[in-house]
Amino acid sequence: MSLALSSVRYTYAAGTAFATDALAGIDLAFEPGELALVLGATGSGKSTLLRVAAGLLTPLSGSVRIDGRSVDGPLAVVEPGVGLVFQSPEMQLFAETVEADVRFGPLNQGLTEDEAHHRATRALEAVGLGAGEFGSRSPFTLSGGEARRAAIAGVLAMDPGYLLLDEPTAGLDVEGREAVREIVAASRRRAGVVVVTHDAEEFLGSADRVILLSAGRVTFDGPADELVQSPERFAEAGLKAPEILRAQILARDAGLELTRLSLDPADAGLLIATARRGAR
Amino acid sequence: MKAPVPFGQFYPGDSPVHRLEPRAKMGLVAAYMVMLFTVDGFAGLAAATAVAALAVAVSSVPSRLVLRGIRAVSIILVFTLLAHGLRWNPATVTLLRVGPVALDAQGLVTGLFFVVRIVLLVVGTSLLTLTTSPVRLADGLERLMRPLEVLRFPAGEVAMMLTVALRFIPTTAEEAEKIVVAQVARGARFDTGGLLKRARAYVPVLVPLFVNLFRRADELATAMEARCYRGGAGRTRFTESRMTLADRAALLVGAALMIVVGVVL
Ligand SMILES: Nc1ncnc2c1ncn2[C@@H]1O[C@H](COP(=O)(O)OP(=O)(O)O)[C@@H](O)[C@H]1O
Ligand SMILES: [Mg+2]
Repeated sequence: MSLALSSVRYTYAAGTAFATDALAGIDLAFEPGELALVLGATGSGKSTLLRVAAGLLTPLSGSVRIDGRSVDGPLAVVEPGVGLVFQSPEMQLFAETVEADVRFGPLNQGLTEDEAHHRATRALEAVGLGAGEFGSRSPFTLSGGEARRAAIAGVLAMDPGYLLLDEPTAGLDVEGREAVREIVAASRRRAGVVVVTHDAEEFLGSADRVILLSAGRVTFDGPADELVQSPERFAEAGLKAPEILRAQILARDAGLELTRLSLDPADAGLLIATARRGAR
Repeated sequence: MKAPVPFGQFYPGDSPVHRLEPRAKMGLVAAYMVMLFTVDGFAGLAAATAVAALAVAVSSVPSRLVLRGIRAVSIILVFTLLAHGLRWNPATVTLLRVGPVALDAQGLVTGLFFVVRIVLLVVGTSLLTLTTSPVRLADGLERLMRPLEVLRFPAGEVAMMLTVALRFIPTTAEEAEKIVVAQVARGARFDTGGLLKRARAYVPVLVPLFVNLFRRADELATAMEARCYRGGAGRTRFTESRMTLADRAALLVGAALMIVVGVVL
């Protein structure tokens, strides 16, 4: 059981003078219940990866298989389904009410009005927008963070087996980012979750697995802690390491012998204090 | 982002055609059109073809891009050809006859004349937009319209509107594409059902597209006002283009030559 990409290549405008290789041979499998974080610099192919994984782009070569089957076309409507939350998904809200917008996906899946309504109510609760309060509002009156959450609800309502999110916290305020992180953390119970971002600060602490993408290739695939212990990999992929790691690296450069690096501020403080005591 | 150049969009370059002052270029295109509409035989069209071919060659714009605009008018071309070529009953030189409808050779020749004229028209105007950046084009238009300001015509505002509109065409196209894909990811289908169903399928694309457009227009207007934009009168450009002696000479000689050829042939 997995969403598996094997030897996937993708080139935009293939065969023309404007051809751009976006994915250069990707082998990845995402499991249900897992929170995978894909980190990569702008232009490294993250959005393309998600579009291919959701069946919205057909790979030039290689294959995408969902639970062993290969399917042509969008994977949103097959079972167990792949839901894709695009970058700035609030751009796609269109219906008269928030509830009607969230119902759009389930109805396209062929559910009845009643079932769709039920799904919409549940999804809106899941993103913290009570259907009672927000369901009958126009999506165009929501704040940025609320609109983002409504758009995510529109995908959750389709009950995907795999949930893919493209830069889900980009452009939100602190509160909005926190809300989205909570939604993501809660979703992994129901689905395999893949989060794609260039911002290593946001999800590194909660991810089961981290994948580094650089120029359309996977340069690292392993547990978050393994990446944390070799932070030079961030720079190699054109990324900024999280501030907390940079602080510890600076401490190391200044001569402190840290036994390991940590993402947790309390833990990191303790490590630095211990190292200083040892140095005296 | 790298993307294929759509028909008629600016193709950057440094050829003499690119460097020609926009007003001079528009003047030459106008003269070229006059030539196209005054010639009355294939000899004239051949001369116009030579002019167009020379300009395309000098511009170093790939002819593939110049010809792309023809595809957009292909239906008009076919219609033009058939409208002249098909005759009801009597025909001068019948090539083919199905019942009362005849394909007439003489009509086809006339049709061909108009088809070639339309193709040359499209090539000429495509070359203008392919070799002139939108900003320079709007600038040129503004300067051409400026004398109308005497009649209280808001040339500056119209030019600013054109510049802004041109600027947002690629953004809007890109956004429309994104919204389509996003709705497809939510299971929307755009390729099934009858005409009405298909038209309705586009509601989830058009609504957010327009909402975003109006929102952006509003923000842009506020941002422009915040930077003290008070209408176009008296505004100057960051780079003022000037007609050099060469531009004037090219305009005068080129336009005169084309119009004379058009009247004679
Ligand atoms: N529609 C497109 N047409 C042509 N090239 C594209 C298109 N979308 C993306 N690209 C190119 O493909 C590469 C990967 O893009 P993308 O997957 O969007 O990267 P990321 O999401 O990591 O920023 C980039 O070089 C980008 O310029
Ligand atoms: Mg992206």
